[in-house]
Amino acid sequence: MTRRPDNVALALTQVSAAYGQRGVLHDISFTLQRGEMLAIVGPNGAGKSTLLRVAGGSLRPSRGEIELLQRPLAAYNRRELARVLATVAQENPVAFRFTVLEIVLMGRAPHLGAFRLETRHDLAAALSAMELFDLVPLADRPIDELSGGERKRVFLARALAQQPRVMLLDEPTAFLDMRHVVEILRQFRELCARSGIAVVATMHDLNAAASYADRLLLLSGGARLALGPPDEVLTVRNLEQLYGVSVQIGRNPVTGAPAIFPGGAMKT
Amino acid sequence: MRGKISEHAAAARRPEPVPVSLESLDAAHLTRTRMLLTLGILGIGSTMVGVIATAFGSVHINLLRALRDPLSPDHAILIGARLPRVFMGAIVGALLATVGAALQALVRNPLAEGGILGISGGGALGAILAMALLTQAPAADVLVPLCAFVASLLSMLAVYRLARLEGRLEPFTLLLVGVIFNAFWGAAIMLVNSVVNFYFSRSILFWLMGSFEAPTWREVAIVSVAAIGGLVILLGYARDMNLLSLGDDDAAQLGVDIARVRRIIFVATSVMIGAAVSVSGIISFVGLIVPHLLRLALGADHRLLLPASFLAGAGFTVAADLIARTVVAPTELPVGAITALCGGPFFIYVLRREGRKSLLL
Repeated sequence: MTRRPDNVALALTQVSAAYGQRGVLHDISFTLQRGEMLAIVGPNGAGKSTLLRVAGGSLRPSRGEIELLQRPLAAYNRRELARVLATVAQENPVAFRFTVLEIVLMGRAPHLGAFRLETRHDLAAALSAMELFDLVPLADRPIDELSGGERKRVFLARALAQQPRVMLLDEPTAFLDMRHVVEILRQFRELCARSGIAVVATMHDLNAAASYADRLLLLSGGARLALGPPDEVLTVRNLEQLYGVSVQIGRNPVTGAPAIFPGGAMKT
Repeated sequence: MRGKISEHAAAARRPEPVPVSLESLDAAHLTRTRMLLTLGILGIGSTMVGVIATAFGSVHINLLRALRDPLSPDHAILIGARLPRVFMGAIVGALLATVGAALQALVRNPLAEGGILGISGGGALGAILAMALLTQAPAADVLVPLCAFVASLLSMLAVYRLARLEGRLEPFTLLLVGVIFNAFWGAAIMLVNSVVNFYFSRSILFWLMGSFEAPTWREVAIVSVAAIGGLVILLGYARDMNLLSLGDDDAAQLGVDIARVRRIIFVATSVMIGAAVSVSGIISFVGLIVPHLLRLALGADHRLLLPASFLAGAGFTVAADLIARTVVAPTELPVGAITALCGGPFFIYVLRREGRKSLLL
């Protein structure tokens, strides 16, 4: 996808955010192209989830501008926003025993009028999202009988069924087994390329981020430490500064992406 | 090491997906057919209960004669006493079960119902105070239900205002404040009970345990408007109730205006409960047990759960009232005692049988 202004899916300009008096994000700027996958990495408490909340409109920034599809985020009403932007939170609580398919179909809600049941078109959208994440055999299972990884895939499928232009994923690969980490990241990679969906995902797994994300945003104490392709930003210097442990960087023999090997804690 | 990683990469390559037809998914979500079929069966079932309840009572009547001969005593009993009572039981039961289902969605807790949120307790106190203070008033039979209605709304306002923290209505806080109010109103009613004379004590029991004794057609009509109007309003938010089950953040990002939806559900259910309490007192357990059993049988989708609760609540309550007025006839038992006596053990039985899952819902 070429870098043109009209290809910008999401743009943050000097965004800061705070919970009460406590500043959590400081002066963050980045633009996300259509079809691009951006991974946000950083230690616990670096502001990754907060950045997603701000970008998704659920937390108002204390300063700065956010544009979604070249339109100020604040200008969207709830339902308009839900039709173009989908979020998958880290925790996915469900109060009652809905089936997997029912949860995925909830992603169609922003497209439906009041009193409406889902149409065949909605069902088809849910089905293709479930196929992508191996969920079809689980369609009629109650959500509370699923494992953590299966449950995570259900919520990713729900976000996909929303048919958004931008997706914000908080730790999408947490709880997933190795096969599904690889599968899901590759699915998102293909989705980005095929349908031009822009994805922002917070991740703890630096190697997975390096293999699948176009660019990485390194967050440290709520501020941007580095932003760029994995090769450029995953340096020993950056990572040691970010996590406070010594690291070695090699190559992933399959993808050729940088591979991080943490060593011991650094003396300070 | 290298070989191992490539093997994993190869294993992760997905097999060709087997095509799945949309129809094969019908069992896993709410379809129009399933909805109509379920509601049809529940409607027929509840109607049958209604017919049986009309045929039997403390006095035997001949239904055929009652319908043919408008001057027969059978006709007078049927139209003047039996039918309004069955209709009142049906509509109040329908209302309470619907309110229970909606409130459970509102607070994301299967233990919520009108009684637990303290709303019906406030209404009962209003009725009792009106009875004790307005005995000499010319239109006491209208004033008492009116006071019950107003008091339940005031109680609702108090719970609502006190449960709001920093402008947000938190489900857990709401439940907690409601429970406290329920206990508080209960204590206030006991206090009134201990200072008024014996004659009133019996009427107080009526409000506390609920009864469909001698309703007028006008009362039936008023409660019907509240119940049916309330159901229609709540149905408009049934999908939002589904989304609320995912938590506030997810519901909001799927386009739900949470503050507004909460407010509307809360006000609609309160008005409904107020109307029910004003004519029949506190009838507990209907709002708890009916939605719970339906959720186990039909699933959690509120677009089906709400109308299904409406129909099943009607049948359940009419049946309970039939027991209340026939089992030790001519003496009548309070219907609320029957619903609680039958409902309680049955509820525990279902919970135990379903084990952990059912508690989680």
